[in-house]
Amino acid sequence: MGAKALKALLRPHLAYYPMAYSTPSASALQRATPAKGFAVGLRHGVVLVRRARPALASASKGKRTGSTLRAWALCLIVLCGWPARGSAEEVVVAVNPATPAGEVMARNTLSAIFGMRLRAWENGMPIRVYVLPDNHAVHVAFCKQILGVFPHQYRTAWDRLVYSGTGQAPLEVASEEEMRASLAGTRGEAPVVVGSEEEMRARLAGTAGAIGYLTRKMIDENVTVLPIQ
Amino acid sequence: MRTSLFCRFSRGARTAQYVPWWPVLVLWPGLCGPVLALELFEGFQVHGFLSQGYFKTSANNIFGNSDESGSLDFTEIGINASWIPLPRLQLSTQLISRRAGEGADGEVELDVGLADYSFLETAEARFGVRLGRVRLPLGLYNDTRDVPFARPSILLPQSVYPDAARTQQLSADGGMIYGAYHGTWGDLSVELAGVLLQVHNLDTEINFFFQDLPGELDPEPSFIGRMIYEYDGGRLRLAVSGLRAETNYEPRLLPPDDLTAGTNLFEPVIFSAQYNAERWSFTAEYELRFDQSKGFGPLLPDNDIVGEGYYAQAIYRLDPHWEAVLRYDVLYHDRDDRDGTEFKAETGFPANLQFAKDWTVGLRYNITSSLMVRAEYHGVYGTGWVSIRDNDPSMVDKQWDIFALLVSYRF
Repeated sequence: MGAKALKALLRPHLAYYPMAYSTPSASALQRATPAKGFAVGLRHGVVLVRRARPALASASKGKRTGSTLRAWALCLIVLCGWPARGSAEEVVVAVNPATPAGEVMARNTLSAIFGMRLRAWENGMPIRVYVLPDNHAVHVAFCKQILGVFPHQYRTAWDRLVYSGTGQAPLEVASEEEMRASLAGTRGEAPVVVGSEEEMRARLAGTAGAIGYLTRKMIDENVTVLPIQ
Repeated sequence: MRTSLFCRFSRGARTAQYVPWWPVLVLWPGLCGPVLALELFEGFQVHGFLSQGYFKTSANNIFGNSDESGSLDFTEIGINASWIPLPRLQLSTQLISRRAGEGADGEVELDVGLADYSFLETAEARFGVRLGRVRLPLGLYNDTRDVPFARPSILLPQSVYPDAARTQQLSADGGMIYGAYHGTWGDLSVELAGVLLQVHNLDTEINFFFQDLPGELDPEPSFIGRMIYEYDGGRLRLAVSGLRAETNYEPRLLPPDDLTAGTNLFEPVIFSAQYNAERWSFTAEYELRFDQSKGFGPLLPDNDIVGEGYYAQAIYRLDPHWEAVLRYDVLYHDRDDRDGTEFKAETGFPANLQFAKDWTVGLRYNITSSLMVRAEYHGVYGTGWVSIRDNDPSMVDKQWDIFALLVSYRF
């Protein structure tokens, strides 16, 4: 079973239900071909799946084709699903304007940075990584859209680094005071988990060598968007 | 090695010993507050975890007296510190205190204590060396087997990660080189180490001989290696890992009161595969164990056993809070005697000590990102991995169930 085949198998329901807290965009829904007998719509940010009665009747009579299997998979996903929330804004990689990251960055490099495998910029300046919590819609979107991985994979990799003593992982900061202290530049070598996009932006703007991600609407003159190849 | 020794020696003494679980009572209130990982000064991080388990079995004991009353004799406490004094140097240490029935009494162990220096660190490649007490890179879960958040279930699949051999296989002293390459075709990483295993302890001795013998076990230099290939950021992970462990026995008395100076050569090879989707993760591992013993004298004839273990596991993430796991796990101590018939004829002990088949279903609920509860059911046929310290091997039941609960906190 090739990874490509599995990927293809997976893609249809990812498009139906881009699970992670983000509302699927209208275009994503259009791209997905609904399984026979199902109609898919988008209303109030929630994926709606309706049964089209005549089609389902004929589907159940026929043999189990790919589309009926997909329909069952869809049923399962919808039954077990949770309401989508958050925004489907475009997420971009953002850096501190003084960060020596160059004009564009390769996805491989980005993946090494967020996988905590690369700890310094080419000129030796420490890379300061900022992430949002695992369940945050923007973090999920960043992992999936830009890095092409799922948040749980990063969590597993970070845990492995910490508990086998082979690396450090993003650290949750304890309090507002600590955050302010950190913003003032007194500390913050280690990668940090920030609580919100506003905090992320403030951190990126205030820390040389910092890299993180934001939805495009959060970008202002104090942070720089870094295109990813 | 297990097989032939059974007939020669009586089982190890088992004492019902009350072990206080006060650490939990003391530390639990701390969980209510927003305790988070600490960065004490630049580049210095402190993490930790704490878990308490409850086990109830229909027969046989696991981690204490789980059969009669249910057992709370399972507590894991770990504290982990790391410091990056220079950009390419990391110093790490981890201390663990573990209570797990008769097998572990809460003593604080140095689990990790290493210096990691990377000579090369670019986006494409990394190469470096680790010195000190390192975690053994075996399979997909050995590196983080003590951290409930990082393992798939309360009990790891015992075929590949037996708790009976935990001290021997967890971490060891020595040096390791590691290298990784990240290409467009995927990521390849290799770890190779020469170590002295932690076998100079009662746990390992009982695992070897089923009892505390007068002499001691001494490790010879052992070699371990793992290669992992990851495709598409870890969507597909394939790994092969192996260990060559040589252990000597130094007797203190003369036969027939003791064995003679013998050597055991233990060489497991593990093949691992994992597929990660957004909601699903599928994992399968297969282990082949070559186990040779010689020179232990007339009480323990030389033997050469090949054992095997394997499991297949599916994890489904219902939402960010709920996660379900289903697993089938199989262990055979001797491939040439899977049902234990020969073993029984030879030793008189129950045949089911030679194998175990375990169906596991479990649920995990993440209350917050740092607090989690788990519940798990095991339907087990066979007793291949029951603890000899918690059970009388002549009286084990072939068919048994385990119900387990675990609450775990980390920072």
